[in-house]
Amino acid sequence: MHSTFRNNLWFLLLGLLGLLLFVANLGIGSVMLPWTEVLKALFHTTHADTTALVIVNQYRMPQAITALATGILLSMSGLVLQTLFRNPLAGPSVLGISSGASLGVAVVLLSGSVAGVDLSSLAVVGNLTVVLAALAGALLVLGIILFVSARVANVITVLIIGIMLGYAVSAVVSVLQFFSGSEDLHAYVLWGLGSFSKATVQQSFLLLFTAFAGVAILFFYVKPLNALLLGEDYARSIGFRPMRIQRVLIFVTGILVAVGTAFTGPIAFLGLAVPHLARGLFKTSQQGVLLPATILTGASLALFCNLLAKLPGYDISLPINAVTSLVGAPVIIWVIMKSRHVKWG
Amino acid sequence: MEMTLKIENLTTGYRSGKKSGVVLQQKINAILKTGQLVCVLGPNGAGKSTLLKTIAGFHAPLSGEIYFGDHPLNTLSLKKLSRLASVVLTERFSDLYLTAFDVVRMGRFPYVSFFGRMKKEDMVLINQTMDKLGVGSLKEKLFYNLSDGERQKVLIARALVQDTPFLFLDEPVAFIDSPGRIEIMEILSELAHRLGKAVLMTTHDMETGLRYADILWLMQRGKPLLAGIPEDMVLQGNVGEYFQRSGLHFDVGKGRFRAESKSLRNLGIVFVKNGGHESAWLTNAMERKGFTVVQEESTPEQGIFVEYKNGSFRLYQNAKPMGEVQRIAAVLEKIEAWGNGTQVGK
Repeated sequence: MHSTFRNNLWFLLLGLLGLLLFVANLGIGSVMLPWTEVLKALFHTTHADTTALVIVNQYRMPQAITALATGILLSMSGLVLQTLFRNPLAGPSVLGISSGASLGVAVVLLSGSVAGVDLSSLAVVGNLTVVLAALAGALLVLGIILFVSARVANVITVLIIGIMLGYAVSAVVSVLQFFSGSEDLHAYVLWGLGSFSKATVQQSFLLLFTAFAGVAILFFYVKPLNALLLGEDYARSIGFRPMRIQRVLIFVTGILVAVGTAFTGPIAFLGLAVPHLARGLFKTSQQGVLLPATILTGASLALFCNLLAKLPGYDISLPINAVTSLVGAPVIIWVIMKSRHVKWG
Repeated sequence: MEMTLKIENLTTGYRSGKKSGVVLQQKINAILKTGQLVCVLGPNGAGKSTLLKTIAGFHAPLSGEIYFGDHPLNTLSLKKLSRLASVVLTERFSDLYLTAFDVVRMGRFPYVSFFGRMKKEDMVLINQTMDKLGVGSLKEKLFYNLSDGERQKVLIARALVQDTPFLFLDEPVAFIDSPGRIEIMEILSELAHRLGKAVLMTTHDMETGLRYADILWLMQRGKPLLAGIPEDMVLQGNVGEYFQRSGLHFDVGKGRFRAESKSLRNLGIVFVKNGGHESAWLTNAMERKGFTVVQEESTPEQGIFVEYKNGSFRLYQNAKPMGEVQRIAAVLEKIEAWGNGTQVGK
């Protein structure tokens, strides 16, 4: 196909952009470091400044890796879910998994004060506890979704149940919020704003590993995902089992979203917007092109948002969730306006 | 490859929560052979699509058996089935950037590797098939922006590159304009008669069924499936019976329905000299208005007579020339003016 050249050029550009943004994430932050110091610290040369070593390797590196990995995790999950549910507005949040994570976190952060103890003031709730609670909550919801999907024949029913489950879980969280002390509430709200900087070095590598594992698994599902573009009956008629594919992919993306959300909190819009951005750039629906395109675009956009959130030149930083929403929503509007000559189903 | 599809005592319907299920059709027995174009013909709601989807393996039958050759459908793996039967459905795709080529390409999925990489032969087959169906120039076009007729041809191309002896199509000519309908039906006939495929399609369009089907499967809720040659089924009165609705009368000669209420408006008899396109269309116009048309060779003693001669319609009343006009509109005007509410002719 003559479009292969154009696609490869885009892949190359996106790859370079991602690399550039990754390096920028290491070099830019609230502390001004000269680039020479950043590079020295990065490569652990003997003359490296100790402060620079700590800032670059202990703070900026895990943050950049977390942004990169989360961008990949959420974006490719979004693509797969949009294809699976054949719905352009599907995204990682539709299965209620991030709400599940919120519930887990709300339970550990807020239930103490419901019982009369301010847990956050006791400092018993550490980073790892929050991560595990988020993971537990997300997996609980995923379990329910899988249980349901094994019993209903229609994938759209699963989608609706996922959305409703999300609402129900959020309601429980609201009740917990209502009865909790202000300090706990503050801690919970902060978690809900999302952050790429909470993950430790090891955790950031765990995220990266999860992202790569997800990429490896999903590449095996390119052909079935393509087949599902025509709908379940056509997919069956060319030899696929739509139900089985749907269940496996809901499980895989569910795990990816659960792990991502556990370490970063809910990140809005990335998973929804990036697949559209990739489609707009590559003008194709072939999943074999869109999957790598989404991965590269997702990594770049997450790194870009993180850079914006750092507010270069200022001392403070913005919550990542606000930045991803501010960047993501216009992207979706742009893509839809741009393709308005094409009728939507 | 010569092959027969056999349907034995099939009951179709839905299993919707209730254990018994909703029965649509019972005790269906039929045979579909390669080289035949079979139209499943029946009014809306007769269960045609459900039958097609049951045969294609999308719905489980409530009871009964379907055999592809000697193999019962439920023992065939999806992989094997995908090399026996391909489908064209009414389902619409929602994806924005799906091109016509992307759609056709998927027909090769049962044959290509795990990652879906096309070999040179696959590409040649796809290109040849799309060219043959006249959609070769649409390859890079978005499927969404194609016309209904173009989409249907692209979908047929997709089914053809799947290279199966059986081809099942659900309402392939619904929503398609008349020339497009004929184009598609000619393609399907050729697939059956020249390529030796077994083509099974549903349609609620009687004209299409009567004109193109080698075999009709007549369906109607509550009646057994009847199979036969369309002409015999018209003459035996089966077609009229299966589509029967109160107030409609089946015209066996023309193979179409007419409202019985038209006869209430009977304005009288008009004699028309037979032969020629003009006479045929004049008859059409007169019947629409509520006249009974009788073909006559020469001017009758009594009544209104119209003949087409040397480029104009000549009118006679009781054998007396009443002038000539160029257009059927003018003929109607004149005759209706004479009638003026009272009976014309006899």
